[in-house]
Amino acid sequence: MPDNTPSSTLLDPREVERGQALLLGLKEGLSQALIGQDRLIELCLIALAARGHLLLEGLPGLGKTELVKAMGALLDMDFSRVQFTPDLLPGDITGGPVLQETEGQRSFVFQKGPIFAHLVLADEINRASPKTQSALLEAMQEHRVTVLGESHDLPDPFFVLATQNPIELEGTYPLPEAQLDRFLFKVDVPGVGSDVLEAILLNRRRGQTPRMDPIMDAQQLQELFDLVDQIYLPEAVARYTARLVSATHPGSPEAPTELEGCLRYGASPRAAIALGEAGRASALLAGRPNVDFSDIEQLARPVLSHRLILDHRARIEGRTPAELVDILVRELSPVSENLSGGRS
Amino acid sequence: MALSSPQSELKHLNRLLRLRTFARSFSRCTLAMGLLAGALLLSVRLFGIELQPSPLWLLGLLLPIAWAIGAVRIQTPDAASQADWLDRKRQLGGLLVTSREVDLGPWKDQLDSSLARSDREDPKLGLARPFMALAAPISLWIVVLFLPPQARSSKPWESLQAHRLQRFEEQLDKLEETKALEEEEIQSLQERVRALQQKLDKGETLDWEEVDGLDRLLDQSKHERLVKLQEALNAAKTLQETLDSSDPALSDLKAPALQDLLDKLDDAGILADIPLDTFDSLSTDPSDAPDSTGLELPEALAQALGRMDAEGKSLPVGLPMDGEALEKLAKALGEACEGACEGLAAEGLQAADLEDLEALLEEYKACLSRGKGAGGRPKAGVGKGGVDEGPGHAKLHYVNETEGDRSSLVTRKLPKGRKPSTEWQTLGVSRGSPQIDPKRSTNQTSGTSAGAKASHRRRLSPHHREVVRRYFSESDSKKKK
Repeated sequence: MPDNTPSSTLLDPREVERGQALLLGLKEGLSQALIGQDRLIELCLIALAARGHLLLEGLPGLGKTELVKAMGALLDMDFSRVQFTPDLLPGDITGGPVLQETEGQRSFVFQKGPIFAHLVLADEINRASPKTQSALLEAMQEHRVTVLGESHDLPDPFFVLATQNPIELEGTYPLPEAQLDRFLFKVDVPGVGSDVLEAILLNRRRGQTPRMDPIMDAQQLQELFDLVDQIYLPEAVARYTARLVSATHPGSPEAPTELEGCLRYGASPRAAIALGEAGRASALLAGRPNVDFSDIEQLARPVLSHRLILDHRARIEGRTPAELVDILVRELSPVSENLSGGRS
Repeated sequence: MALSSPQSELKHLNRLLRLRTFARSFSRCTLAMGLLAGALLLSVRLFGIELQPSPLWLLGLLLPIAWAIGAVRIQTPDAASQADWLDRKRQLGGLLVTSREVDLGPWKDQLDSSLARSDREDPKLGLARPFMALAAPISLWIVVLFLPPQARSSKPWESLQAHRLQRFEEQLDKLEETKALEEEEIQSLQERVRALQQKLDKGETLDWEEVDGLDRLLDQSKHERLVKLQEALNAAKTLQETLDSSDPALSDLKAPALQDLLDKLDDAGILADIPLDTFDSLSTDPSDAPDSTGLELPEALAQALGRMDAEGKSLPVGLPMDGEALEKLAKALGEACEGACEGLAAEGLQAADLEDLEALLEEYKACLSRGKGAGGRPKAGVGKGGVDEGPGHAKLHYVNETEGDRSSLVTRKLPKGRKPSTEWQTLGVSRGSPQIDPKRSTNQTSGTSAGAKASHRRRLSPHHREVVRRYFSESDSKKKK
């Protein structure tokens, strides 16, 4: 655990540079796989550095799967892909006991499923049944799988990168809130402009991504995690983060009046923790030894939007959670422009 | 461009914020206080209390200053908030807020260079609005302070008191003209009235007791004057009876009676009003008096008649040798006394005094009529074939005047198209029915007063009084014709 007491010291600039270089290297590699989606790539890297799971939502063909595949290739870690379908069973993911005969002895041997990898791509996760989706709950939070009363640790690090399609919702099962809460980010993959399309046309043949060599091994990744943990979170920023998360709850004194009646349930403390951790990773990516207000502001939308449950009013008015988060960020500016207010 | 350290930047920001908080709080408090005090001052002036501006009023600014100082202590954002604000505004990447918690170490140079690179952007002080807000109370104060001094508005009762004093002064002037009172008495009362008027003009509060006391003093003076006149009238009656008597024993009393009458007339102050030729019949020889001592003429009369010796003492005179001349002198003196009595009665007397005077005059007139002998035609009064004018000419006496209490008087609007009668005039204001002075009607036509009084007690409306007055005036004029 990072020590945030005043006696703590900040990371040495060289270490920060090293961590930033690792992340920028990954970013460069991912940029080759996915052209024109810098912000998306940054969020993926932040989620990776913060050891959080990522949910990508976007239309088909935007490169979600390619991004995750590229990440798996660059990290030189075990990578598995699970295509979620309605008939997928939990055992198909977690694995299960298999009767095995060895030297005349028959025994059940646990056969690991595809979830036993450092990087798991859960493609079109909303197409699987809730029963199957729930198989990911323990894996994502506890980093282990329990089958027939026997727990099996997942490899460390362990990431789930899931994708889902916002259209073709027939025959899909929206992820329950408990599972959504386990994703650090839910990122909407935006469409690309004509200039990006032009670049894709010029750099892709038959849609194949360029070959990618691993640039980061598990040790380097662990080193990266250690650096992220040493990023300093100032009290002022932590206070702002807490205010932001607290304001998502209806009836909170921090909540702006504009959101009155729009939110039914707010973000959990897990969201506040996620925001802080993501802020640390973001600061390292920016080459800073401490988290800044801007980190929290920029990450609030991907961290909080999938954790908010809208009330009828917001639904009727056609508001999205992302819009409400933007309002929160705007209204709960860490320090107002006029620096009004007194001792609080 | 800022080239200073984070601490100096924070101090600079802190100074600006304190200045802004002070200015805003001071202007708000001054605005509220100024408007409140201005409204209060305006109200006070509208109620006639004059307040002259004083430099001490500037001490009132101490309150906004104290308020602003308190606001600076309470409302100024704390150092952490200021650091947050500065960090964000100058885009210092959180290094400034971090520096408040941990040692930046090698990152300090980066913080300094970031501060140096970024442009200083001070928070908006917004001093224009606070100072514009001060314009409202300042304008109000200018208007209020430059208002012309409000003339002292008299209280409602003060105007009544002034009116009362004015009426009293007019009454005194009338008394002075008619000489119903002695001049010294009138002057004394006039001085008192002037003193009260001066107090009223100075804005001092007059007690109604002082105003009402004037009436009592006047009544007292009238009463004293009446007593003297009554004494003179009694002396005149005594002299007349002495002259009418055939008793020789009483003939020696003629001189003392005349002397007494002269003394009483002198006391009453009406001797000077009697024509000097009235005393022509007086003998210059004192031995003409029965006791040979002569009459002691009052000094003023002796001086007027030229009966003074070298030492300035009045010379004694003798009675007229002719009895008829003596009787004429007595009658003239008596009539002068009677006239003075009637004049005093005409100026108003208390009811009891009036009745006494009336009785005395009746007796005196009866005495005179008896002196005319049995040939005199008996006077016919009410109920005896005589005619009495009734209360038509009688003077009304208003008692318990209610100058200060007009609450019982109700203003009523006349019916549409009807003009107020021009015949009406305010004779006085009273709580009760006016008392009727029967003096005017107790002249030659009334024999006794009993019946007349009865008729005088009848209530007559002003209109009826006017009819009665007109009737008798017409009959008198016809008789004259």
